[in-house]
Amino acid sequence: MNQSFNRELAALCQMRLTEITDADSAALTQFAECRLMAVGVASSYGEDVTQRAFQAVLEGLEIRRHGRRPRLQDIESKSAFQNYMRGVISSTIGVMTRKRGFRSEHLQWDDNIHTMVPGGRSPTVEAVMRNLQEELFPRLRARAPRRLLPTIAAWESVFLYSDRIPAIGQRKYVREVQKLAQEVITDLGGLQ
Amino acid sequence: MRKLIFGPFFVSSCAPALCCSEIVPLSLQLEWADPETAVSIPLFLRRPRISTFRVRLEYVLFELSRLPFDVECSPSQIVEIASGTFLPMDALLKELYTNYKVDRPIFASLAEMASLVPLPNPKGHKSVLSQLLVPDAENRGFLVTEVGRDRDRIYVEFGWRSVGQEYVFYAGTCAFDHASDGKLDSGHWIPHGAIGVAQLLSADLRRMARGTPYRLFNSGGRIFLKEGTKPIHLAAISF
Repeated sequence: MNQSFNRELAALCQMRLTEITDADSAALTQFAECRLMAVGVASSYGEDVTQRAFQAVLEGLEIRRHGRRPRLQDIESKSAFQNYMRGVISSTIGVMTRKRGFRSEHLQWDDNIHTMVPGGRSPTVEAVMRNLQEELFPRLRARAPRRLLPTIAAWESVFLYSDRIPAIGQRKYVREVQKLAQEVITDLGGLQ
Repeated sequence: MRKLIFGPFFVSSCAPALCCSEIVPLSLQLEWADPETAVSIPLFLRRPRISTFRVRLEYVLFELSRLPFDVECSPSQIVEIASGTFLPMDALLKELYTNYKVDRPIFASLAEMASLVPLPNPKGHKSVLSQLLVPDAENRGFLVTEVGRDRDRIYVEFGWRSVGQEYVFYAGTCAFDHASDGKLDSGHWIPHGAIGVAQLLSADLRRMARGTPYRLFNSGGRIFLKEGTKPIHLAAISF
């Protein structure tokens, strides 16, 4: 992606951001509150999470800054952009449910230690996994029925550290998410 | 399990300022003792990065270098600055009450902290819903803080607050599903997504519910669940 295309994308994204009304923002906060309740986190974080999501997108507009960068199809219409923002909110909430352990001798131990991949990963494999995560989850959310979203959010939160999908709600949802993920990965051209 | 012979108590202290505007000392420390050791941990307050964020329990921090035992917390609550790494006191308090036999009820510790640390109501302007729970729960300070609906599922969020205090501590969430005949089921608890004292408060709620969340509600609360829940949130949002 060259820099001029980035600028066009950023301008379009900025336009979509200006289209967001107070009512749209309130609806996104309500979405965040419901997502938070579904994953067992205080819903009072709803406003904060929504603001963080918008902040991440704003940061993504700036070159050399971290943040979220929507794809062209995410900003081709206002409703597509709102859907994208819901994805960012779900992802932000997923991060809130991650766990990191610290030992009293001050050595940090691994996240999600009970499902840690033995032996760890090389930086190359780590980078591949991160890329896969970025490609997989937005597509998975776009295809998934609403009932699977909590399971997808829980999986995304442990994706880099675990080879298991956490069961949120009914166990059959795990199988459904696995099946959907296989379809997405097939569409992506399979695992490299 | 080891037993505390003192505390935990929140005690005034003098702490030097850090060279970071994001974290300020609270001039307060958390103290306790078991038969072998006495521990005192200075506390700090993280200032929200975005000015409109409300200060919350999770913003009360302690330095990793003072960590007395293993803890787990959410990475989003960890603050790393030049002078060190800071972890949420919420997770520390939860581990303390989980790993030690503590005579002082968690409610007393939280009430003391809420009286000393200026924490606003995390729900902001929103009011809480009182008189929906059985007297045992209401008398202990539990209340309903939020109700949300997602299709046939109703989420109910609980909080706890000490008498006369504004800050409501999050105490867990349960969900009720509508059966095909339209009736609500007896509900189930949503597993906690974050580590903290909410897990301790929730354990007390579950004990009172004797298995099913529905039992926590009085007759008015049950009518509210059946008729008064607002059809909001995901139900109004299409994908």
